[in-house]
Amino acid sequence: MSGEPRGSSGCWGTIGVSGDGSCERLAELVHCRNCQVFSEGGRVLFEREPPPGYFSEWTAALALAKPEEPAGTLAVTVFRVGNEWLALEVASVTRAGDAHPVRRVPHRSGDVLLGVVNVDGELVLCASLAALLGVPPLAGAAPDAPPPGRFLAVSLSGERWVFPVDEIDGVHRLETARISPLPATLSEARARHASGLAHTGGHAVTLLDPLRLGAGLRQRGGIA
Amino acid sequence: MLFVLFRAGPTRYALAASSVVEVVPLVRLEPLPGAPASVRGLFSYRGTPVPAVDVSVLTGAGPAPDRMSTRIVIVSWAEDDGTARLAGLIATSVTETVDRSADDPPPSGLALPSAPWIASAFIVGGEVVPCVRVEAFLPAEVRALVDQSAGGRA
Repeated sequence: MSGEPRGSSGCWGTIGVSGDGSCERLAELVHCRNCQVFSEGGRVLFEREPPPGYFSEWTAALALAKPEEPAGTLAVTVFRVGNEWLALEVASVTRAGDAHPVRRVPHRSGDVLLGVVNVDGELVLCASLAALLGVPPLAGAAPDAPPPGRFLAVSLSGERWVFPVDEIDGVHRLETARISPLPATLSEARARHASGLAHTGGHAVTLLDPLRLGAGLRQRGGIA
Repeated sequence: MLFVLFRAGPTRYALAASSVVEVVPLVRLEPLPGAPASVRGLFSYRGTPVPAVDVSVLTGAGPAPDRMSTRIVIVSWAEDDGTARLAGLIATSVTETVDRSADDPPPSGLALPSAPWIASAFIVGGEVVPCVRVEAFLPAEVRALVDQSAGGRA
């Protein structure tokens, strides 16, 4: 969804980003959404008569007790590696972005440690979560297929790592009370790095433990 | 210190964000017979009857229009005797906040006998913005009528 109001009646529709882009302020502001004129145009949207039933609906809603926010939620970034949905608390995730080329490290790169990646001018170790957790590659994918399209940069107790991931579903809020313990049937590699299971966004998600994941990466990546 | 900006008639006013409980849409108000014109009525806020004061009427600009941008700012304050009070301020264009740091020029104090709810004024973007005192909005007789403390006269 684009942020532009429909019916570009303002200057943004003629000389701005929805028009021919000839506005001289665009050079400095880059996009109309950074412009004062555009934000004021948006506010005009509220200067209209409310739809029928609006007052009655809000009168009833305001008379009720305020809905309680569920206490104890954990915000996690949910992403997919292979066919496995994983989650890491947002405090550990520093960045999600498009793939960068991975440079192999001679005599060090292996299954888990893929190499180093340039993230904002800093070299960060790149590791394969699929290899660390024993996630089988998706059926049909060639063994030497190019790395998946997205990267997740994380900071695990101060150490930065980058993981190639297949899909990032965004940030979800998990109710801590509904995070279930790991089942005994989970593979040892996954159980060692996870702290629980949860259901969110229609997926069963394995919640990774930042401390154990960091330790596992150091050990299996051959950095320790 | 954060301030919520709103309009009453053509003038912009500021309200300390610390006294704001919630900003809600305009709701149907039950008129209060005999109340001053600025008190547009009572509404149920989470089960408590709360008076709604139209700031536009207080400023002499006439009642606020029924628009999407006209909202009720729920404010709270403590009386001198410690009783907590709630009131709804009907204000228009409640769309912006302004953060005033300690380095900004201090607001000039104001004491107007006919408008005790104006406490001070400062400049926001070249515009003089009077800053309001929420506890002075409700006339004393309405405050006594709507006692929201537990075991009050309401």
